Amino acid sequence: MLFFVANVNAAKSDFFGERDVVAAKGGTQFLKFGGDEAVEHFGKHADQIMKVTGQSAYNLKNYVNDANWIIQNGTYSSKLNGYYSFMANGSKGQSLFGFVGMKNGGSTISTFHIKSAAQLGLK
Amino acid sequence: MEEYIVSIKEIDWLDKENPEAEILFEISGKQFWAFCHPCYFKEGEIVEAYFSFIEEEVSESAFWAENKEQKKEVVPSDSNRCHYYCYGELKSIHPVVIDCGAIDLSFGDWINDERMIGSYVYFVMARLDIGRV
Repeated sequence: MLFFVANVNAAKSDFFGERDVVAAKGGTQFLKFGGDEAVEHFGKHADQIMKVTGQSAYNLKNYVNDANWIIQNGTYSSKLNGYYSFMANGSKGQSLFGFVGMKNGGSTISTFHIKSAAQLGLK
Repeated sequence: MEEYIVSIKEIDWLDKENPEAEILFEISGKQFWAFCHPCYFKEGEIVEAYFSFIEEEVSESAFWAENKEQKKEVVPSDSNRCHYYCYGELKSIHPVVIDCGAIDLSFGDWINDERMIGSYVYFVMARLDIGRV
């Protein structure tokens, strides 16, 4: 199912020049963080995502792109109101997932960070 | 998952709608910061909480050999308040539970040799998480 929602934060958050519309899962549109929130969340979580995925370089655009990939390809958790997708196993066997939280009725990304299987309630 | 009584000292919100925050809490007279999502704590309350963490890679040799002083301690990193260097004693192996002094941390199920119980170990938490029971 495809539907569109006006992006009220387009002026602030349109740092990649994507269209001023967003879509729910199943569409091809690009979802964004609200306002300038992407920068704050990137600062908090990017280092950990780099370590888990083994990337030596990672920027804000990669961060938002990866969040959108998880929204498009991940599994939805109604309990956490977000999507998750497996990323890697830790050295002690901990399964690690990328988690993208949603808000504003699913039209805006609230966060993208790492969660373990236990934190997602998967075991 | 072990439950603890903690005192919530401060909440630094990252987002309130899909509630995400870093929490300063006190347990056994010591204060720690932890990441919390979804976050249902309030400042000033005393509540039951549980802990989990995201591991950071340490070598097998460091895990078993780095805690020569047989410490039980959770040491915060200078650069990230939710990142910790952990020293503790292996309490059980199914699951792996490590007594780090103020907190026992559960660490999966990846050791089979019961002779290792009682060993002093070292590991790194990339992020300590706290949740409300």
